[in-house]
Amino acid sequence: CNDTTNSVFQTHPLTLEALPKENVYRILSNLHLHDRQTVSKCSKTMREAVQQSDLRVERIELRFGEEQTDTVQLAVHFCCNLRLRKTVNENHGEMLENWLIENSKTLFFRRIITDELHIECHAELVEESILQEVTAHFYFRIFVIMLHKRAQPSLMNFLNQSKKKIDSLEANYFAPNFKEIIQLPRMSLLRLDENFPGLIDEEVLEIARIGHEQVEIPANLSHTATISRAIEVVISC
Amino acid sequence: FLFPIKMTSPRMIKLTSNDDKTFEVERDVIKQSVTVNTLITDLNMDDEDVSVENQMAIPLPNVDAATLEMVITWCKQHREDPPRNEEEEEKKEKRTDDIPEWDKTFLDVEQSVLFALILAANYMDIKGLLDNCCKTVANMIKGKTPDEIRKHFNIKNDFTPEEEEQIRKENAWCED
Repeated sequence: CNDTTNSVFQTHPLTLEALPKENVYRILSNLHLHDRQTVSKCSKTMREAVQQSDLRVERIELRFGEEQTDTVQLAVHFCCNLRLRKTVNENHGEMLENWLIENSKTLFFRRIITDELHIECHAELVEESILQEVTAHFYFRIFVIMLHKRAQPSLMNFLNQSKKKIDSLEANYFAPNFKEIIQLPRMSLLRLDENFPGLIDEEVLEIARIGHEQVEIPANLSHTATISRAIEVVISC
Repeated sequence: FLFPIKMTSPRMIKLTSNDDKTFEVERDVIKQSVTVNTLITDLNMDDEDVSVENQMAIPLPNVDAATLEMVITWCKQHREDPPRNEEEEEKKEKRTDDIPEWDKTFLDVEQSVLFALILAANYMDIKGLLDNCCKTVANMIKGKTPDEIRKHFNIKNDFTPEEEEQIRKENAWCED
């Protein structure tokens, strides 16, 4: 059993703040981002509890389209749904994670990002040349590249800027007559297909297989359009 | 041939609260408490052929009588629940709208009682009760403003105005 004397808080017993921290974390684990942040504004002790609890989040809850569709959820929606579990380079993961820990002030988001870093980190990502490439690992890699490129402005600034972009992405995501043509490098499409079978329409893949350097994808191909648009948005951030 | 059927009464276990009140509870009911269950097993109490009158009571020094009575009531209500698979529970989507109706009513109590139940469930290691108590508290938090949460849970705002401003800035990226 847990240690019931191990309270983080020295206040009157049988109050929320006086509960053992394991129990407070358990309560907080039932809350989504917005409510967690609200709790963290209540007092220093609750703020500490939320921050500690954030670091213990093992799994990010996705309730896309339900009560909250905030930036984090949208970002996580893309990150998590596109996650790859194949190539992990722990050293670089750790390096980036350390950077993030130094630079991210929002623990909840930090955890989301580091979770993703554990999943998808590449040795090449520190090479300048790779910054030019859009690969099948595109969204997350670009996300990491963005962080890499923006090491000096704080992560917070980056997120503030992305929020506006992602908000507009969301508007486009639901727009039924979105007609833009997205261009993607051929190899990216093929790698994309390799990692996410069925995501790209066969007719588009056929064009890519033939060998055109650029493939025009009608943006109204649902998933492809959304993801391509995501790339575009992130690149232009 | 007719064989006499031996009617065995359910095995009972004695529990003593920290204010010295003793409760008799069916072995099958209290098995939901991992703490008690482990004690019973470790002390070979299941093997003993001792009447409940002569049985040693298991002391629960962190639980008072009123709370223990509620815990036992909860365990009785949930005695038929399938055993929890914690690994599976962890994988499940976290939600707070799945508290059973009976539990909702049962846990509609004063905050101090609810927190005492959390402490007891934690100490006695009854995950189902602990989960539902924590979800109940989470539901009390959901949708409230910081001021409302402070008022509801009697939390003192100890931030300076400068600290509040700093927090506001930090959260700006995800707030409207």
